[in-house]
Amino acid sequence: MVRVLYFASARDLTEKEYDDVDIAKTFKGSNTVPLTTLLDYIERLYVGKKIFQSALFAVNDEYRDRTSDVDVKNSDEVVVIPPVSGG
Amino acid sequence: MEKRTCCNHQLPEGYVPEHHKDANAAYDHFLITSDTLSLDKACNLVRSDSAGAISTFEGTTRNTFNGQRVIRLEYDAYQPLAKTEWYKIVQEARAKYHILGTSMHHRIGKVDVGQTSVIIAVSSAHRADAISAVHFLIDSLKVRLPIWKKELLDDGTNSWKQNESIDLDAHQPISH
Repeated sequence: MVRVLYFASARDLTEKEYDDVDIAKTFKGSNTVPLTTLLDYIERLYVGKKIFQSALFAVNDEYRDRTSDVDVKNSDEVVVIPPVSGG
Repeated sequence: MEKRTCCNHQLPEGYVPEHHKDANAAYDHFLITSDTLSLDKACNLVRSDSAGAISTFEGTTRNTFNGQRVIRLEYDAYQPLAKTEWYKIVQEARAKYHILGTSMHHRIGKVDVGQTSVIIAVSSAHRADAISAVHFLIDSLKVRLPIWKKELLDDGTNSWKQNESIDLDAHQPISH
């Protein structure tokens, strides 16, 4: 499973702290899938809600954006990071 | 043995200043907590006989925003990434400035008006490094750490905030 964690506005819109996605089951037997493909899939689960508006993402503790050329596999962790406001 | 100098200040024989170039939990302290923060605690973590200065920043909840009255802020954080990203920021600070110790304490949960949400403390042999490092660290925190605040207004509405953009390139290193 890939765990996709939601924070701030994304958590409010999904009404969840996270979703678990089985890559092989969801993406026709592939072991890995591009981040952007995973994000497209998640967005379709929440049609009409702009859950990724202006968001960055972290894949295994590295910041990525929607267009980053990175693959995710089961056991990875993806964090949805809406615009931050610490301090 | 030749007497060493640091920043044009002569040092005792055999004395080596501990301006570590690598961030390390041994002298760079990181805490995210729902407890009340303490400036004393943050300062004592960086206090050093080698320091001529401890510079600090405290972020507090202000009672206004954009013409409206604020009741309180509520913070959330993704702690594992906040920690790894913070140590990257401290590493960058150590490349720009001569720093002895740092501490960063950030509160999560409810922070009422007037209360403290974040404390940063930095010690250094000379004050210019500590003052500049604190400024660099709080600006970097606001841009880079996965921490969010929700603002509760007196009309009952609340919204997740977004920090204004900050020019981190304006923080130039200090040459020694």
